[in-house]
Amino acid sequence: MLFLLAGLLVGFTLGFQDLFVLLGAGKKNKFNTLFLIILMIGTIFWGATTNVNGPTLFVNNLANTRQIQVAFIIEISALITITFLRLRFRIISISHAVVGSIVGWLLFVNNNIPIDDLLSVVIIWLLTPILAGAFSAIYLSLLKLIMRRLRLHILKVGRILQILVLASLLLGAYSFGANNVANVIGPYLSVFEDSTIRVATWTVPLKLSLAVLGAASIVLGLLVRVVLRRKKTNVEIFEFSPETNFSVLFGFATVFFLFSSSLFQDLIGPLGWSFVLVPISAMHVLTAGVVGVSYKKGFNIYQKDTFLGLAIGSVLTPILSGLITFVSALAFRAIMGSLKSSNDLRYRNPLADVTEFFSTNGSTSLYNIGIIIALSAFIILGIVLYSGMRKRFELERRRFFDNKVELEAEKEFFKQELEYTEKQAGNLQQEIDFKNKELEKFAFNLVEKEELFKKIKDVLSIIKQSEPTTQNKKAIRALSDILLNNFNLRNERVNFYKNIDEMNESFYIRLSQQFNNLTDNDKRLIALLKIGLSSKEIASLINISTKSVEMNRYRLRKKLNLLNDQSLLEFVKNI
Amino acid sequence: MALFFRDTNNLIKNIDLFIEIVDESLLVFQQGVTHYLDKNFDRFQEDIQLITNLEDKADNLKKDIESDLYNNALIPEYRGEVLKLIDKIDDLSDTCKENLYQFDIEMPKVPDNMKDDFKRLCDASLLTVGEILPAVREFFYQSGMVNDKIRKAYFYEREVDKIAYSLKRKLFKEIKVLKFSEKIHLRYFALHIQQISDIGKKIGDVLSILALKRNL
Repeated sequence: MLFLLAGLLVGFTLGFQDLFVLLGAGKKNKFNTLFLIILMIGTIFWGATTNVNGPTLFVNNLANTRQIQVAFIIEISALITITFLRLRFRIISISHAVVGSIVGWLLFVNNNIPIDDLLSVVIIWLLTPILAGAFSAIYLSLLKLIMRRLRLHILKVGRILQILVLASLLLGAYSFGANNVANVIGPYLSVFEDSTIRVATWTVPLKLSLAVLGAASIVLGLLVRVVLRRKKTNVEIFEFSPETNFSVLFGFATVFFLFSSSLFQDLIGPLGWSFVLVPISAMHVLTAGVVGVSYKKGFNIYQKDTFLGLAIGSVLTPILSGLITFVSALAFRAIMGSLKSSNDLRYRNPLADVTEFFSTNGSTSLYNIGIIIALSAFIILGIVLYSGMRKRFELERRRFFDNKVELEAEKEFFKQELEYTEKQAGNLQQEIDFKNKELEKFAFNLVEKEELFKKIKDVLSIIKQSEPTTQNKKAIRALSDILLNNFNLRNERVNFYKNIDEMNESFYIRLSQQFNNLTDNDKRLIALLKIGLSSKEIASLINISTKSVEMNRYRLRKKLNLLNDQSLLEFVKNI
Repeated sequence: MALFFRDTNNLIKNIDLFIEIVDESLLVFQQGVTHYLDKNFDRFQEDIQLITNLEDKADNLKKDIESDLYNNALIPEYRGEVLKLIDKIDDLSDTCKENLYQFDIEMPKVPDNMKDDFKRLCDASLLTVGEILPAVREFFYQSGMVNDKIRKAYFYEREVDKIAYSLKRKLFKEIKVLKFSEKIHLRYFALHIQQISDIGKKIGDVLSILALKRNL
């Protein structure tokens, strides 16, 4: 049991680190945590126990040992490696460490190392993140397209995405259980190969019990993490929109399902196809999904040094793990002396065994890998070309629309401003017309009064010259006083001039700008002409003779440089 | 399917109705200001009554929306911002109501030659929110076109500031018929009308963040 503990600790670490990232994505969608954990635990157990013939078989065949001590060394070396490397690197794969440990052990026992199979595994390790990135980006594009076409309300989209995220999460948890239980129990499987145990009245193969135990260790890791409430994770996908979150999760789940699930192999088996079921890295696949959607959206969430760390970590993990296994095995043999220096079992080709288990027409895994690589390369190339073109087009379109929008807004606003200005100009014009009319009336009134005053004055003079009686004289004087008091036109004249000057303020400025030789009297004469007064009326208003007005008009024509056939009145009105 | 979306449909209906009511409040406000400036006080009182009813409805709907969003655990990623958005939109109808009440209580003396300036300020302010509310509606269905509408609203908001500046300048530099205290009083009303476009801008800010978050 003590030797088994190393494997269970690996399982615990898997649950504590990797699986928590998945749970976090679900919690972000505000599912009830307890409900989510129960569902995830169920699916993890389901995945782990029903897929013992998947990646677990591969790890078992690769390790190929009946000694529990060897399995222990493999697991403990992997555990030490990931614990140590996670101090420096954010994303470290347990699968890489376990496989590296097994290779270290094979080197230690000087056994034949299945180079072809290891090469396939390395290719799959490289391929799975690429596929995850591509799948996530494609899912996101499809989702956006569908949502755009359907034009659903954000609340409905949210509701649908909640369900989709939950489904992806469960598929991911199922596949995670199927894949990662290999890292926990894979090396131990041959030790208990044909044993069974009795649980109540049932006889259960020990292989299955181990799978249950492995899944339990993963689940325990997850539960401890939840209880500890340590929220910081290695892969930050939580700040994404639900659409992007779903795409990343579903991309992860799809890739894991393809490379972990016996269920999928059973489905495609009759078609003569098979996928190589090997343990793959959850963190790498998830990170690649994030990178895929980020690329699709045109921004980079990870810096170059993160990628560099990822690459170095990926290479370093199996090497260091192998090295630790080698040294541990040496130390173990030196102390315990119970490890055999050569392989204790007939060598079994791990991939062939797994492929044989599912394949019906004997198609080889390498052939399938070739097809997958070609297809992936084709998809990725297409995505890259399409994204590049789209980005350029999008940028140009954006620029064009930005300008268009601003112009539209300006146009709309200035249209309104123009309406206001026109309205205001109309009001002002009305005011000017009204004042002009008033002035005109005022001027005529003034002229009429002046004329009347003169007439009365003349009549009075005649009366004065006739034989006046004392009574007549008194009456005439009284009348004269009344006339003088009531027909005091000076004030009215001053007011009139004031109004004229106020009304024509801007007109006077215009006049001065055009003709700088005009006197104030000239300007006033022009203003009076402008409101349509005749020479006689003007003479009466400014208290000079009509002849003088005519003379002033003549001088004004000269100053304004008017030709003989040009009308002064027309000219003044057009200024 | 209908059962699956039952709560959602109800909430969508409430949000649409809420925006519609606020939109109507804005129109009533514009009408109210015009009626006040034209000294049509009977109609102005009707506008006050109308805007009070609309604001009450908007407040009730806002409460329903908030509780539905929490109870049904809908759009948890955007919930904070959506609630803030709803709150700001509600501020619009509150401010409109408050402004009309202030016109009613304080009865500012607007000289005839300033009436058009106030109407112009009011129209421009409403032009800003006139772009923002459709942007909000658009956001709930598709976030793509939201930014275009927000850009327009920002442009109008800048113009409102210019109009308000010229109005205040005219008020203090050119208008001779008012006392200084009356001018200060009018400036205060100009600020209140301007405030509507400022709220519009704040809604635009929240909306931009939401649109950005939706595209992440």
